[in-house]
Amino acid sequence: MTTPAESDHLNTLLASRRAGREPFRWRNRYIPSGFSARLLPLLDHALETATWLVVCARSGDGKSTTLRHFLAQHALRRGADGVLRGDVIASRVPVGRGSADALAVALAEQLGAVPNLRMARLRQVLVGSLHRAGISLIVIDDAHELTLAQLNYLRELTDMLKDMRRDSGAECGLVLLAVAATTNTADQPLWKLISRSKLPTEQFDNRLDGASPLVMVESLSEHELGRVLATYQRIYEDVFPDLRLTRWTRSIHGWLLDERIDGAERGRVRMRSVRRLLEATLAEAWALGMDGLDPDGRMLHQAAIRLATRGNAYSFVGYGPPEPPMAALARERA
Amino acid sequence: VSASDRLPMLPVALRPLPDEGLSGLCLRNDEANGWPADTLARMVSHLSGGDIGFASPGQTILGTVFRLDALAEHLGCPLDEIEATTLMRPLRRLFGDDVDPRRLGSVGPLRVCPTCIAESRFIGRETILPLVRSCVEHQNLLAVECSRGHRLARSRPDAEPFRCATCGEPWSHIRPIQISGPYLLSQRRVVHAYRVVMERGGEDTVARARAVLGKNVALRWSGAWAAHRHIADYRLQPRYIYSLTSLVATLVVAEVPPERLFDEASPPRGPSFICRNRACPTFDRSDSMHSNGRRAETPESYCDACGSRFLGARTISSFDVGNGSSDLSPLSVYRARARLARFREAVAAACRLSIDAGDVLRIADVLERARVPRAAYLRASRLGIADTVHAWQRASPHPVRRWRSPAAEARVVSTKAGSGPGGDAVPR
Repeated sequence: MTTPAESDHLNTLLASRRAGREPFRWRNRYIPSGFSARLLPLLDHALETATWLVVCARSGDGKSTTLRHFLAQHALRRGADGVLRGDVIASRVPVGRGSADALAVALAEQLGAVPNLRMARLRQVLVGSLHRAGISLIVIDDAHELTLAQLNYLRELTDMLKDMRRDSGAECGLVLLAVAATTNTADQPLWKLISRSKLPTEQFDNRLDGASPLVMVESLSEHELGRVLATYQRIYEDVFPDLRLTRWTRSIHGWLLDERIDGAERGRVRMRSVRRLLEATLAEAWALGMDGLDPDGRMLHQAAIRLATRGNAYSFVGYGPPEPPMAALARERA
Repeated sequence: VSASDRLPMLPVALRPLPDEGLSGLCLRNDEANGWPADTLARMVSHLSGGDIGFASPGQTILGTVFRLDALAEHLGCPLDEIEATTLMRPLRRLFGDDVDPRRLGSVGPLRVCPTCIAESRFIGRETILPLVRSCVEHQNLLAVECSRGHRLARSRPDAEPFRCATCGEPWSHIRPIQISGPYLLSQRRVVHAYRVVMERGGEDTVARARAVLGKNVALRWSGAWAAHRHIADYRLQPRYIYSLTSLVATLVVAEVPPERLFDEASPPRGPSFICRNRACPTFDRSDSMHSNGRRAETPESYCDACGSRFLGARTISSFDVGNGSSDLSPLSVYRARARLARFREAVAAACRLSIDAGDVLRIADVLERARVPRAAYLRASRLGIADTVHAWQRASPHPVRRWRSPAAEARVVSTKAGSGPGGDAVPR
């Protein structure tokens, strides 16, 4: 089913476009949130203590965005001697390629140009490059897609790095950032792989942080959502001087807890949902040429409804609300 | 490479050293990154669809199989710095845009100075030039083989940089062979000539060299260079000079300073290029003035009538007391006249000895026998040295027969026979 409000939203945007108005541009910036405030210290901790951790969070919480911010803080820099140096490298698990070689190439690409070498040689070269660059932490994003061969390679890589740094005693930490749909560890594919009793995974398990190797980072609470909304309010105050988003904090939190959006398990909302809600609402307000949101919050609420019913119904594009089917049938008979 | 499609830099990106060659630069970067030899060169040559393994040495040192812009991106340095590691730019200045590896002459195998490798992993861009066989800096012979006699091949799978690809011996461990004496001198001249021609050469340099060297100049001293076959073999008749190497070899063997090509290319004609000797019949005229190179950037000239020499507007030597110059003391004129008298006597004696010995009187041989400097200003007509030799030549039973081309010879014969060119008397 499609409500008139939903079709009104899309048609409003299209009408604005036809009228020659510039489309609304979402400002894609890193927003410090409660989630990133929890994840960043974890990464710092792993960097300082060379800990091995499996860090889980829900999809859309902002893991990759926070990781990019962390990498920007620890960017690799080239010295006067031409050598690239830094603390951290991060790589995504190569999609569709479960071999250890694919992961080695993905890691080598983070340090610069990758030569066309035999894989055995490239692995040696990668260890040398990591050692020379002084890397102390490797972060693997989307680690739930890791295979057993890749887990073993990570173990081998860090061991070789440790051997190379035997004099200084410096070790290399490892953080595996994975998606977890629920708080049940049995649902976590990476942890299922690690906790198998076979010898290779056991060796990997031995290297993980002793007491708490599996960490779940929570999403945004209502209070943290308010701070995020305040930040967005500041970001868009030049185009929407009368935005006043924070007054809708409790309502937005309640709407986003709908089980069809974020699930109400832990009473927390995801950053991606907040962004989708705001983007849709601000785009509509921009198309209508408003200075802020409507006073009764109708636009926000309708956007939340659209999020909840997302993908379950068509959005009809036309010059008005769609006709009820019975009226069309009656006209045809007449 | 567009700005949006920038190639990634190397984990360790070393920039070129001054006067470093492209091969050395690639090998240094390979070593710094822990890669096998030629990995970077292959990476860059694959981008241009080529393969370094199939490239000739000439193409390698010219950089024609490389996308130099891609190499600059990988090393994060300006393209100019990378181009300076090749010989492309000087060759383009000399021979135009259509640069061919043959313009270098036949480039030999890879040659390295073991001391340069040991000190700084340096392979200069000049070391691969055909006539350069030694490092003038360390006075070493360039090595082409390792201590066990293996050629210094670069391209073998998994060969380590700066090591023999066959036995793995470091190039820095090859025992250097010291050179000295005439060989070192000849190599210094070769390197100097290459540097001057490559730095200052332009489109008209080859034509200018043909004019300056001429047939007689190019062929002189040929006997003295018999020991340096690898240089003397490249010497050519000036009109056949085609490559940079034949140009340099001809200059070196003829013992013509390479600067002369460029000094004479712009003769300092003008108000200062006149004879300032008041006693000379060509006083205040430029009819008989000739350039004599440059000294400290000031053009030197001489008058082939009176033998006076000038540096810019200053008279630096003259044989006439009444030359009217305030730059020259009478004492120095008297000394010059006394020296001239000795030279005349020595030349006359040398002519007499040559005739007695049955030699053909050639002016160069006579001056050498008389130990008279072969300076051009001493052959001025008023000084009488050249006239003395010519007089003895006329009296000699062995007249000097001038070399003529077949066409000129035919003209002479036909003139003597009284028939025109192309007549029956012209020998074919």
